Parts: sequence; structure tokens; C-alpha cells
Amino acid sequence: MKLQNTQKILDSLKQSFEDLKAEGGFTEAQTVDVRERAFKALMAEGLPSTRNEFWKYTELNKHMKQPLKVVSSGKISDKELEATSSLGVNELCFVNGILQYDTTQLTEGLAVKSLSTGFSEQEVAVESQSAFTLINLAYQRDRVQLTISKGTRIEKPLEIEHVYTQVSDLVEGTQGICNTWLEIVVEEGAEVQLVESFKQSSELPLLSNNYLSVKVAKNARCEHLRLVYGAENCQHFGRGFISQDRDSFYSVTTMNAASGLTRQAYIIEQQGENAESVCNGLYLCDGSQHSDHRVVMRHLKPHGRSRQLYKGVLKGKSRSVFNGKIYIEKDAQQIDSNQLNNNLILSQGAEADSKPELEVYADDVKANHGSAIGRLDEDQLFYLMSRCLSKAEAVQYLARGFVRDVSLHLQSRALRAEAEKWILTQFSEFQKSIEEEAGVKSV
Amino acid sequence: MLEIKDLKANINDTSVLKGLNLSIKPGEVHAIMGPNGSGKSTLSKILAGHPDYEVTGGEVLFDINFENKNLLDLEADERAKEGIFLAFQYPTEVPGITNLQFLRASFNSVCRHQGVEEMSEEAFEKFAIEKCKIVDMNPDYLYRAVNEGFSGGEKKRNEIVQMAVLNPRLAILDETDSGLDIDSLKIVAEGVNKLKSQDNAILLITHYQRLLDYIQPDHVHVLRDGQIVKSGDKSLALELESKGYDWIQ
Ligand SMILES: Nc1ncnc2c1ncn2[C@@H]1O[C@H](COP(=O)(O)OP(=O)(O)OP(=O)(O)O)[C@@H](O)[C@H]1O
Ligand SMILES: [Mg+2]
Repeated sequence: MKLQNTQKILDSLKQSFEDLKAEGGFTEAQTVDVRERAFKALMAEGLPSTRNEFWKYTELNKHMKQPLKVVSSGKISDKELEATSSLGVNELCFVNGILQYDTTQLTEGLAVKSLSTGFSEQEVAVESQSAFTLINLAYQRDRVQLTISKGTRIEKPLEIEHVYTQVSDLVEGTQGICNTWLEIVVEEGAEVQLVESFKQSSELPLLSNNYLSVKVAKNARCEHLRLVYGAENCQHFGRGFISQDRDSFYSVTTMNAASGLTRQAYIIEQQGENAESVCNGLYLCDGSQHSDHRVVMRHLKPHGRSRQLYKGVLKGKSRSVFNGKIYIEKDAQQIDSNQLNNNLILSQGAEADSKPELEVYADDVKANHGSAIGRLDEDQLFYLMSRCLSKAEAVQYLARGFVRDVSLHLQSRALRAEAEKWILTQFSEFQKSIEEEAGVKSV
Repeated sequence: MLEIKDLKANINDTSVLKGLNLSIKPGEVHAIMGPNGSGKSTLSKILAGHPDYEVTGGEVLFDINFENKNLLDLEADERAKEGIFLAFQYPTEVPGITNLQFLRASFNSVCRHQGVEEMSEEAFEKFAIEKCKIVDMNPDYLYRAVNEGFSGGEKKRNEIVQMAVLNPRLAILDETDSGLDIDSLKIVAEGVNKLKSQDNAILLITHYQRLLDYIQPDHVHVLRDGQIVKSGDKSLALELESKGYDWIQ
């Protein structure tokens, strides 16, 4: 079968590349080669089809119908400026994928710099990247590195905001694509909380294509909350590559709602002993939305701990996929690893797939996974009612509890409050459906 | 206060309670003992209003505002608001709701029912911390999800904290002692004793005499195959401890 849509998209990407080149958009000498290589690899490989094991449940040819146009506003419009004018200290703002360095103020121990002139510093293994990372590389305008330097402790969460604004050169019937590249380095003994938000807007059909890498050094701690405020005609793609050194802690919690198509993958690698990783998520899907979450948890060294908790609520004809893998290397003894994916299905047409995978080569480890798909738990309902809550109240508490389970696992109170805010705005329609389904009215 | 008359009940079409009679007065402590599967938890869940059990005969009268009402006509939450409390044999984990939120929601439900003012968040937090002390539970547990990741013993203590907050008229403790080490057992038992008064009653379900060393029962009953087959005073518990259940017809 010919994959017409994906071919159309590849053609449009080709066009974008030619246009950018003709416009003289690629000037930095060192990046030209990487761009060309990435572009060539992308054209050779094409976009992934469902024959690719990683994409088995997400058929791009079905979900991506419009030609893409790389959004590359070189100049910042007034609108974009407006978005960055109210920034406070320790707030980063990416407009259409581009960090506004001028308006960025950081406290001591924090620094941002652009890497797009520095490909020579570190060899990029271009040809081994997946299609969407190749897009990041081929069309990059900037690659940003954020460093939390050795021993720095930031009390208040660092905010990273991604906003997308109308761009003039987007014609009807095309979809914009914004590429963001963020590398975070948490140096030895540093401690930071990050709250990142992606604000899509329905005025602009957009694919936000995000590359993230986080390096957490020895004894460093980072708790990272990522909130996607989606829009039906937008799509959100992200890949996160995390590496952790010994005695480090990294926790990422991703909450997505309302994007037409979401595809988020994390690969977390414990490269040092006694590291702890948390990868949690919440997805709310309605209509014909599709959400696909992948986690690969790689334990390479002993005494590591990891937790994955993903929860989903699905309505309408939406579909979700959770594919979580726990990989434990032969010498990685005494690992304690745990994974859970629970889905609440609110309509006949909705479907959730849960695919846990264990690949364990060590013998002295604990590795658990579980999943449940269905409705509110009857035992919990009775428990709450036996404690004086009416059925309506109990359902309301359990519905909220189902999603708050994820925010409650955040250690930082400040991040928890941000997550609750997200839940408040994104969950109310789902809450109503849960109450309807349980046959109780809102109280 | 509670009068169970010829109570018969099924679960999934098998008969579990087969004509059970029991009468409890304010200020009394009753203990029910009996072999595994004899129907003890079934009785406690039926009293609390679990929807899975089908009552096929008999009635349960409960004194509500000096009037005998058939308890079986009320929903689980209505019974709880009238003062029925069940400490579960296996307390349920409820992720996503903190102990404190849960306790406050319960408490304020009762306040609304009784027409008194609800307690503010701050006032309730103090109140709940006090109640934790009754069973020596670390108040940090108030900020964790209900029972999630608690050990068996911690769950049991948490049930008694709930009891302390709700101050029920009839508390049914289903094997609250099982799984507790001796020190925890003493603490929990002392907690229950503090909550005991002339106006409330306690129904203890247990397999072990040792709980009854700390909470003295006025009456001991043997439940066997869905019926109370023998009743006596606390010496009956000692007799059961040494002789088992087989000697009872
Ligand atoms: N949900 C159920 N479905 C089918 N049978 C059930 C169910 N719950 C209880 N039963 C059966 O009812 C009978 C009484 O069970 P119950 O739990 O009341 O016993 P118990 O006296 O509390 O026992 P234990 O001392 O082990 O706690 C048992 O035979 C049990 O198998
Ligand atoms: Mg029982």
C-alpha cells in the first residue's frame, strides 16, 4: 500500500528545506554539514510506518494528512515579543521553538547557551537518529543548553514556557512544524525543579516537535513536570533522552490533553549505581484523539530504583497506547523497578492499549508491572461510602483521585500545585462524563 | 441500639447467613469468634451496606433518634452518617486522595447531615493530627494517599484514626488485631478503649483471645455456618482458645 499522506509530508519537508536554503537561512558553517546529512537520512528513511515496531499502534499516514511547513520566523513579531515581555527571573520562553535569550534572566548557577554553532564540539551521530530527531537536526534554528552548575540549589521551580504564535507564511491547508531542541545538564550535587509548559492554540494547526536531553550528574536531583495544553488541530511529539550518573534522582511527569495526536517517548538510562528514576504520566483523550506514550527504562548498574505510573482517561472514539519497557542489564543486580498503567474508559468507542515489556538479564532484581483497564473501582466506591460520602461525592472524589494519583506522586509542593492547576482546567469535562457514567449528578 | 433478627443473606446465590440473631445495647462490647468462612465479614459488610450481598430474610433494627429504623433500608453512606462504622478486615487503598482530604470529606459529610457547621481546612488539620495520637500514628501519614503502600498494621491503625474522627455509635472492628505485632496490638486496643463510652457500642470480630485481654467484651458469640451457635461471657473466649470450635454443636 502506498502511504500517500506520509509521502506528501516528505515532499513538503523537501520543499521547506530547499526554501530555507534559498532564503539563506542556513549560514553557520558548522551546521551546514549536519543539516545536509540529517536531511539526506530523513529522505532515505522516510517517516515511520506501522511496520516499525516503535510505531506499531500509531499510524502516521492516518493521522498526518496535511503537508508540513517548517515554522522558522527569523524575526520576532510583536506578538512574540508580547509573550516574552512579562517574564520574570528564572523563566525561559521559547517562541515557536526558539528561545528568547534577550529576555532571559537567570539566577546564579544557572546558564543558557546556544549550541547551534557548536556541532564540532560534540559529534552528533546523525545517521542513527529517528525520523523526527532528524527533522530537529535538519531544520534546527537553535539548540539550547541549560546548565544547572555544580552544587546549585534552586528553591523555586525554574519555568520553561513554550508558546506558539501565528506565523504569516502558513497557508491554508498546511500544518506548521516547530522544532525545539533542549539539552539540560544538571551538574554534580545540583538540585532543581523544572516546570515546562507547552501551549498550543487552535488558531494555528501545528506540530510541536521536541527534542529533550537531560544529563543528571552524580548525586544531582531533578524533578521535571511537563504540561501540554493541547489543541484539537495540533500535534505534540517529543523524545526525551535521559542519562543518570550514580546516586542521582530524576523524575519526569508528563501531562497531555486535547492534542489531536500525541507521541511522547522517554529513554532513561541509569549509567551509575544507586540511581533513582521516576517516569509518570497522565493523558486525557476525547473525540478522535490519539495518544502514544513510550518509556524505556534502562538499568545498567546495580542498586537502581525506578517507577513508572501512567494513567489515562478516554472518551469518545479516542485511542491510547502505553508501551513501557524495563530493561535490566546482567550486572545490574538489586534493582527495584515497577511499572503501572491504568486506564479509565468512558465510552464504548474508546480504546486503550497497554503493552508492558520486561527484559531482565540480572537475577537478583524486583521488576513488577501491571495494568488495568475499565471503570471506577467498586471496592473503593464502597469504602468511601462506608465513610459517609454519598455515591455522588464518592464518584467525584474517585474520579479526581484517579488523575491526582499522578500529581500526588510529585515530591515538590510547588510542582504539585502546578499539576493540580493543569488538572483543574483540563479534566472537568472528563469528570462530568465519569459522573454521568456512574449515574450520579454533579454535586 | 442494634437488633438483628433472623438475618439471612446470599452472595452470588450461595447462602452465607442462615438466620442470625444478635442484640447490642449502648455501652456494650460484643465479640464474635468463629472459624474461617463462617460469615463474620459477611455480617459486618451487610451491616455497613455493601451492595454485593443479597438479604433474603430477617431485619436489622437500629435506633435512630430514639426510633427503631430498619437499617437495611438505608444506603451505606446514610448508615455511616447515622453512626455505623466498619473497620475493614482488608482496608482499601485509594490512590490520589490524601488521608487528610478523605477524613475531612467524611467528617464534613456528617456535619452537614447533623446540620452543624463544617470544619475549615486549617482547623481540621489540627483536629486530625490530634486523632492520630490516639493510635500513635505519625501525622505524616495524613498527607499520603489513603492506605497506599501502607503495611498491614498501618492500614489497621489508619482505620482506627478514621473511627476516632467519626466517633461512631456502633463500631464493627473486623479482625483489626490480625497482623499486628504485640506492641501495635496494645496501642490499637488502648486507642479503641479511649473511644469507648456509655453511649456507643463495639462489635469485635476476632480469631484471637489476646485482643480480648486488652478490650474486655461483655458478651462473646460463636458464629458458625451463618448462625450464632453459642453465646456467653468472656470466659467463653478462653474456652474457645483452648478447645477450638469443634466441641460446639
Ligand atoms: N464475593 C464472594 N463471592 C463468593 N463467595 C463469597 C464472597 N465473599 C464471601 N464468600 C463466601 O462466604 C463465606 C463467608 O465468608 P466471610 O468472608 O464472611 O467469612 P469470615 O467468617 O469472615 O472468614 P475469615 O475468618 O476467613 O475472615 C465463605 O464461604 C466465602 O467463601
Ligand atoms: Mg473475615
